[in-house]
Amino acid sequence: MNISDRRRILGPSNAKLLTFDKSGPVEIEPISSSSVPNSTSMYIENGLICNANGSSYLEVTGSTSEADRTLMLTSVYGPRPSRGAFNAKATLSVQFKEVTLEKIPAGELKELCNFLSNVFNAVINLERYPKSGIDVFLSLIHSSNGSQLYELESIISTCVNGITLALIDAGIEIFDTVSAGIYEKHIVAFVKNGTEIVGFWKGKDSASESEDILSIIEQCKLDYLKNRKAMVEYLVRCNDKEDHLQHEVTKQ
Amino acid sequence: MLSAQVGVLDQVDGSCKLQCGETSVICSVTGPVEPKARQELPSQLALEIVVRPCRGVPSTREKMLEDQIRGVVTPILARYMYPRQLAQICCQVLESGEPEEQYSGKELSACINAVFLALVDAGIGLLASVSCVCLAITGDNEQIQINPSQANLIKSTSTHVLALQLGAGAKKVENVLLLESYGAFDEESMLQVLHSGEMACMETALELRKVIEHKIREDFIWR
Amino acid sequence: MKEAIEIQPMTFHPEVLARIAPDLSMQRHLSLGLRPSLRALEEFRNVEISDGQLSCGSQNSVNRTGNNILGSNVLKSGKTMVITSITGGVVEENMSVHNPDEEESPELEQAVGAGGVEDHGCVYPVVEVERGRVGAPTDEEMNLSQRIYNSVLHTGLISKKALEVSVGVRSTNSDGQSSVLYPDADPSNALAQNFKPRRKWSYVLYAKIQVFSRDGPLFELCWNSLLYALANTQLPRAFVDERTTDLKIPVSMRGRSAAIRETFDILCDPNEFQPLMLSKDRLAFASNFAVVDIDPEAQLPKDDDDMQVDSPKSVLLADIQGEAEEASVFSTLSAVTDAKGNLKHFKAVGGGSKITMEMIKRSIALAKLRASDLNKKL
Repeated sequence: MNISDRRRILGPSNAKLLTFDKSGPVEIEPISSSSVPNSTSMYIENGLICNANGSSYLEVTGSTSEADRTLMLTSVYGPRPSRGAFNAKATLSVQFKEVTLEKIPAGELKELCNFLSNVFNAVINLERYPKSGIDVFLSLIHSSNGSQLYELESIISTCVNGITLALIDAGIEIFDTVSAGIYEKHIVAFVKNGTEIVGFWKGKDSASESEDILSIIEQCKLDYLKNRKAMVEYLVRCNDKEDHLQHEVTKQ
Repeated sequence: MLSAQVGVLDQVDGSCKLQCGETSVICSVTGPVEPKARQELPSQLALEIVVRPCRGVPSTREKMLEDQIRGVVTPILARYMYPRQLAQICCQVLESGEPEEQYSGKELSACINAVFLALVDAGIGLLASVSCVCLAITGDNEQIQINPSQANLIKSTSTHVLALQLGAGAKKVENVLLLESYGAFDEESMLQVLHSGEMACMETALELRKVIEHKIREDFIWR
Repeated sequence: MKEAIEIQPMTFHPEVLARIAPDLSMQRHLSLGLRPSLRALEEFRNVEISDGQLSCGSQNSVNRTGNNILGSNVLKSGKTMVITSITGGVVEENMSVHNPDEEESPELEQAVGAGGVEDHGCVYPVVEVERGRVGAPTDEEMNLSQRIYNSVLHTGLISKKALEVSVGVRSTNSDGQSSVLYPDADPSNALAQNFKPRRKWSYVLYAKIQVFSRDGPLFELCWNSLLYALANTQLPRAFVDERTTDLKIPVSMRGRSAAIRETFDILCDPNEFQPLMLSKDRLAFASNFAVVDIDPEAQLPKDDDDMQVDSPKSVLLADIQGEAEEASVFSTLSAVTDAKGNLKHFKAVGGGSKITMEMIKRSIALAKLRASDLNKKL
């Protein structure tokens, strides 16, 4: 029995994880461009987690193929009282966890969490919640991207959109609906109809290295507008449904 | 089968060393003492239960033993008598008497009996008495072994731990405090286990009472 | 001057009452003939399951590459969601060094095959419950993991045989084309017969069980989810490269003279899978129950007409859910059984109300019905 971690049952210490053979021909169905939607599609559901203050579930199907999918469950706890010294502003923490497979190295996760907390520190009205903490938990259920083990970029943009929806579900005040746009490997998080940028993630070793930064931002903005539209439409739809229900109740 | 001495440790309020077949444990009880702020319960006695294995460091297996002991001990303690106080119960397994990777029933039953005696020794108020046995069903004819030996345990098709709350001088069963069964068995054999477990628990309780009787006689020897 | 003191009855929202006075909430509901979760006393929640299309062996998996989840399940019961994913590893079996080719003596096999845990394989579960905190696993998570581990081990759901790796050999011919031969695929094949590995490997299965929206006891949900995940688990075929089969590397063993040991790199075939063989007769599903005493003083006043009705002193509740129910029950029963009543695990904790023989029998009867329902979803 492995005793390196006494709080988990980890099995024999001499076991090796399965390694799949990469050299052989892997049966990949040829991607026919006609059947594939050339834009990302998003499935949204809010309030799945009942013991959190707010939560959102996002299912994003990528632009390149059906197999490119990201499933993300975001939950927001707070504002809840924080211990220790007095704070005039709420403190925000972002935790990221892979629920099924763990394949993202810890260093990149840290970087991702930092990026996200920077973005949302700028967007949440922290002054409204003194002496409190707002904790965001991201649970990546599944992410796949064809040949690669994982694609951090599509995960990040899903994170940004997911957190925004969860914050809205929790009723935490934000200045505007943040959403991220993705182009090649770059991600830009916008607010205020694309006039303000709250976060910029520059992808590594991307093909568009030589491209002008402004044109990258323009491209991201197009994606941002589309994402934001989907999110707002969902929220309006939910609101209508609620109104409708309330209407029914008052009628009776 | 069962032998026990109480008051074996002099730095704690109550203690007991108990041997049951191949298994032996030593248990100490400290309390009522002042708890840490996070343990404190406003109207009841808080419990801290620690189980240490006979070798190595504690793992999830010991955590589960602690949880099971807590489940048995909590309802028999007069917890309302000690609001905002704490009792620490610590069990050290001396001999396991079973393959530790797969089983924990014998340790559990020995621990529960030892904790009961140590609580009596510590003078903490109890509402009822408890006794516990480990049972195993072996062979095709479904023979029930009470406190099975290690060899029988390995051969068994199912193992059961039964702890009963006893009253009226250990002659009446008041409640089933714990029944935990693993393996393959059916309703019939489980009811059989309950039946013979009941007998065995009463016998064990009489043994435990003898130990307590002896202790009281020793304690009041100067009278 | 006398002022009349007016006493205003306090009213609470049901959720608030459930938190501040769970037993009162429970008793008042019971006197209406239902439970705080608004279900009937012996009514279970519906369970929705899917495989989530997460595993690489699954038929309609969205992606097969870069994914080594072998089996998965998403179980929803009420608001609670349990996501189980099974991953695997390979471990070398301990074999006697001196005569590895000698078959195990039949008597020995007989003794082991008698149903003891020695020939039961198991799964290493790690349960995580989302609760909005970070840090080490809680006691609940540890107890859940250990209880699931014990149950799988003693149930004998997976035999050690089912976890044995039948190792194939990959050979590369002169054209650079490689092919993999498995010992069971073509018995006449000489090559596969020639290569008889001196060593044995077994699959090791890990289960990661993530719980969202905890709303009551979890063992039963986690167990059922794990069972569904194991039922759709596909084990990849594994092989070693031909070139390494006769490779011998001297390794100096501690304190002894150098022994010859081969080092094999076990690789898995990304395209060939075999289902994990579960012992079908040992499939059993879990359900939980609680015993609650009815407090006559907490009952709602009844009309004079039904004063004579003799109400029972205690009742059995099935499938505990919600704060009011969980916090006010101290006597619980949990049964893992199949539809025929072959029990695999039973746990009764009598912390409060008396658990009677009738309660135990009734709970097993209900658990059997429940198991036959859940079995249909496999």
